[in-house]
Amino acid sequence: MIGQILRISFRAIWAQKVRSILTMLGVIIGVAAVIALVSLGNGAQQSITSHIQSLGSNLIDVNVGYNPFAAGPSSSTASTPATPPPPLTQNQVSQLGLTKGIVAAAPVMSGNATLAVGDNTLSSPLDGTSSAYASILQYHLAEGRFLSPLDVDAANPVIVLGSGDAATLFGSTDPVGDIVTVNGVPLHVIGVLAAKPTAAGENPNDFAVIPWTTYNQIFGDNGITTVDLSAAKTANVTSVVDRLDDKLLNWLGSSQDFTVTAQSQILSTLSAVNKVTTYLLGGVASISLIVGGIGIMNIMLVSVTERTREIGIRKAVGASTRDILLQFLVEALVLSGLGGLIGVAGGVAFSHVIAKLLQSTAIVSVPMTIVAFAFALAVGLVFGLWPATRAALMRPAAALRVD
Amino acid sequence: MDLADSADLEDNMSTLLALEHISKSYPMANQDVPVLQDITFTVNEGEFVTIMGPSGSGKTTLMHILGCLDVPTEGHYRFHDKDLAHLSEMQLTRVRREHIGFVFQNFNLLTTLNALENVTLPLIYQRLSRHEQQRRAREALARVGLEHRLTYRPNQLSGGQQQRVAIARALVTRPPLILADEPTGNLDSQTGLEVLQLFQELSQEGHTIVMITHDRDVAKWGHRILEIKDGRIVADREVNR
Repeated sequence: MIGQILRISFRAIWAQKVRSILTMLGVIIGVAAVIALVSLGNGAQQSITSHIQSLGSNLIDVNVGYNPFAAGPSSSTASTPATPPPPLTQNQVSQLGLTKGIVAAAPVMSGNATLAVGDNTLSSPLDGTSSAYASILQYHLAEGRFLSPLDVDAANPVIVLGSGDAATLFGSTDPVGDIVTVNGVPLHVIGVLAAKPTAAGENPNDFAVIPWTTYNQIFGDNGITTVDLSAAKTANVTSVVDRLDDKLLNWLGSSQDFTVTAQSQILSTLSAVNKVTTYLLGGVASISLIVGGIGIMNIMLVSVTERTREIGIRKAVGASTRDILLQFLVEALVLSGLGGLIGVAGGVAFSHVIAKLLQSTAIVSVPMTIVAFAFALAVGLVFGLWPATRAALMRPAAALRVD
Repeated sequence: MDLADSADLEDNMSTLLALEHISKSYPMANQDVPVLQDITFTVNEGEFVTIMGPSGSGKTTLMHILGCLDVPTEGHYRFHDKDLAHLSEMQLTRVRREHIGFVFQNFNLLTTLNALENVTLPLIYQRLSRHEQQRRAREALARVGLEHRLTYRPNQLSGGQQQRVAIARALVTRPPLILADEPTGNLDSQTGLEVLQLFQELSQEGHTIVMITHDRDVAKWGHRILEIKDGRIVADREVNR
């Protein structure tokens, strides 16, 4: 019986091909939009997460410098303080490293430098730091070795290249043992870092690392204003951040003179924001599904009016109110279901095309796809109910009199 | 069933349906316009009755009431000794489905279905198995001589062929009563004659037929003619052969 009703429905829909496709368009666009937006949102979420995790999800940044957004009493009434806070000493960096829950600390000086090998020059980000840097930021070595504590103490003229810089300067030859000039100062290449995956449009491989003492010799001593720390895997990041806050407040006297940022906190904030945005967009897109449902209702009402005579004939040969109700309901469901299927296919294809264009990734969530399809069916059911009821309740004698 | 049997059947005729003081009026502009007034007659099993009247006499309304497509405002309608006048829509549906076959003036075939599918339609609503549906529909189409037109759509068939498909559709459920509303009204006289001959054969096979027409020559094909005028029965006579 249901099989025959389905066949009848497909035939009725096929008999009005153009109209059926136009009717389905609303549902198609709605489902495709929901799936594409949610897939792209999930893709963005994953690339943000993997980017931050590649930096080290237990990474904590300490920055010394005026931060007007920090809570607490202002050190001065002016918008910027008269004197900037003093940089940290090497001893203070060690003390931060000894904070409970912290396993490593490295001062980081960042800037841009011109790297050259012969005629081959390259403008690249350059970090001056200590031996702990690699483990804190989770870099592994592809060739050679990383900075040693001795390199830092002695301000040795050595450099470790990121895989991007190594490839640009040396091509496929092994750079270890060669000389690179940094702003004209020759440095020995002692190692090359293994490549990390590119994420969120940033390349974590196009840079180089030298001892911070060497950095100060080349660029002048501006003091230590940034320290990267890594928290123990098991540590409670929030309380570790609190302890660092306490130490820095003790040294500097104002909570506006420094910033402590935990990557895991950024990660969870970004994830939450991204999730809300994704579902908000999905929700907006699902409104178009409801509009599509109204389209189905409109066409079904027209169809019921046009097929009044058919309804009369069917009732005359023995169709019950329920048979007719079922027939038109199934027809609405087939319309919305077909639209939903085409929409799913379109949404998946569309999200991958857009992801490719934006150099992002699209992650099609299967549960979300099922929800979108089920929502399309529900829309068909809800908006098909009224036309179907109208058809079912027609008086057979009256329906047969219509020309 | 041969003629001797059918004569035998007429000897112990039992009443198939009886209308008792049936009235029907339609509300129109705050007024009830009477269409049928005080209609009383009976139809016996195996009878071929024609109801004759000019257009506007209420004969189509009468057929709708006979066919349980509509309910009377007043009176009783007994079918197999069961009063149908005040049944629910669901019960009326069951009567239509099991006991009545319709033939209409404009054929009323579904244009999107082929001949076989049109004839199958009543069997779908009887929830018969696919196999049984096919078997019975083919048998009915063979009875009206259209076994070679099974997959033709109505627009690929002539008027006479379409009406024969419609007759097959009425026969396919083997109903106790066949109702025909101006079955020759849309046909030329030669084709109309063939359709009337088919009805005569069906009558001889024992089917009970009630046929509605405005045409005296068509009405004469019945065993008995009821004349209806302005919603009332004005004559009820046997046809002399």
